[in-house]
Amino acid sequence: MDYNWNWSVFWESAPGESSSYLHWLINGTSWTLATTVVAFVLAFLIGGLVGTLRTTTLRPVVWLCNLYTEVFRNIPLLVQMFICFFVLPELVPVSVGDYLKQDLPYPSFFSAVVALTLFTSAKLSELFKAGIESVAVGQRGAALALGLRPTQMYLQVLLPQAIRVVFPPLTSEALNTLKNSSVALTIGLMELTAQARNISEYSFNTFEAFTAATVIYVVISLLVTFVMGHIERSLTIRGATR
Amino acid sequence: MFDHKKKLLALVIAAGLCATVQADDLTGTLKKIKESGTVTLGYRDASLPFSYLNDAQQPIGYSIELCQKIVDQIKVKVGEPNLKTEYVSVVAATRTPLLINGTIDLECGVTTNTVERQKQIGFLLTSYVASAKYAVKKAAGINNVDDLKGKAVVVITGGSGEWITKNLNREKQLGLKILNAKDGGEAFLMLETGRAVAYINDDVQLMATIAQSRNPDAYTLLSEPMSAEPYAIGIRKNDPQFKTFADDVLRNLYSTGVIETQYPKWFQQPIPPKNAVINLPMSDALKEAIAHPNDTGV
Repeated sequence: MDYNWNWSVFWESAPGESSSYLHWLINGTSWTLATTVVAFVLAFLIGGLVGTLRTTTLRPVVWLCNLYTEVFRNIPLLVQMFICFFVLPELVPVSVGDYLKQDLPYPSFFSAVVALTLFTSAKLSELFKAGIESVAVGQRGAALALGLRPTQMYLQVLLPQAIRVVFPPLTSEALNTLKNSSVALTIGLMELTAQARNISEYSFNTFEAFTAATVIYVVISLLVTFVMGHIERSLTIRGATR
Repeated sequence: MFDHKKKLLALVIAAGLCATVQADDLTGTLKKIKESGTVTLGYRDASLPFSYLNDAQQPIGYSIELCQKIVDQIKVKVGEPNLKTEYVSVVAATRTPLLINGTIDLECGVTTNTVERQKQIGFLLTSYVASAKYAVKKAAGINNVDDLKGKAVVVITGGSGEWITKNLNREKQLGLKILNAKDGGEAFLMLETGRAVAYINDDVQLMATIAQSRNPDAYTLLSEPMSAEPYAIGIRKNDPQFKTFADDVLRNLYSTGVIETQYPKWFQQPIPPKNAVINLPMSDALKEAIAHPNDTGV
């Protein structure tokens, strides 16, 4: 294969550009991190709430939350981003639509975060529901028998145990969110994968560009795994049985 | 029985010898084509009118037709009238790797020959010259690039329109809001839905998109040409035999006037799938590239 490997490409800059390709990668990494962190934190909160509500005895609420989960979990992320970016502004009143389209700063970041949050929160709600259901049934009754209100039962008895159960799969979901954020390039967010494609388009150094992106994704993933591992260990209660 | 085997063996050896003798004269891509009995063309699925799929899912277009003419001559050159032609779909990101690793032999799409790209792949003679322009909605009342001041402009990520717009923004202090789109389809959607007031791309691609759109009359191009983009068919680098051979085929099409009959078919007459007309007469820049064939990049 007659490929002209050129690893120093990252120190070069595109024609007519002042910043180097390396700068593009750093820029892309920042957008990837921003999208992932914001979407995951929001998804954690929303998914935690929806997942918890699905285990309550309030039938209409359970039904609504199930609907929420099924809708956002079953529609491909790509389609959700597309709808959020292109279709949503046409459905809302014209003035709101115009605001979304013209005045909102970083429109693709906004749409990407919304779509990624909805998608991830639906998956996390499933995770939380399973986690809460894994707590021994007797504890629910015991909590109520002690005179705890339902909110107290959840906050002081069920959730603290459930969070420990769901922590390992939560790490996987965090990593999935990181990788899913690359779908946002279809709505014009210049995140890491988009920047790698951009470098490849300008210089045709395709392999170098995507190798760099791969390495960055792996490094971030390992960091996430490391940090989550630490949190997981710090949450462990000595002597607790599962 | 025994005799048969001997005869067969002799035949196999003879055939093998014949093949090696002929293949010895050939190097690089031509040798590969001769040995595999197939030539593989890379096509784009929606780059009207250069390289796209028709309603029968067959790749067609101006670039595809040029490549097919080259294939016709390859058949003569390698002495394989039954050479198989295979088509492989490529996108912007995969066209270079697939060419370099030998999956495709000719990249028949819409690729601008740039000096930067020449470090990785080779280009045949310029076969089309486009120029980047801004498409706007007629109703927006924008007549030149200065009217874009403070407005949102959509560019295709990695396309030349991106740095043209960035430079324009710097030089004229326009304060543009530059939006990125993954490809032409999404960029046009941003113009159509009002996320951007202008969309920059090569004039011919804009006109093709507009001609296929729901309301072609609603759009117009600003007259200022922002660049010259020589399109060329991509081949592997460092393959002088194939480069000379394929260039000669093109040169022959240019000098015999075949190109002049082929051009209107794609740019001035109704084309599949919607039978829309792009209506773009041959530009002076292309006439020049045909009169004086060259492979100069930008």
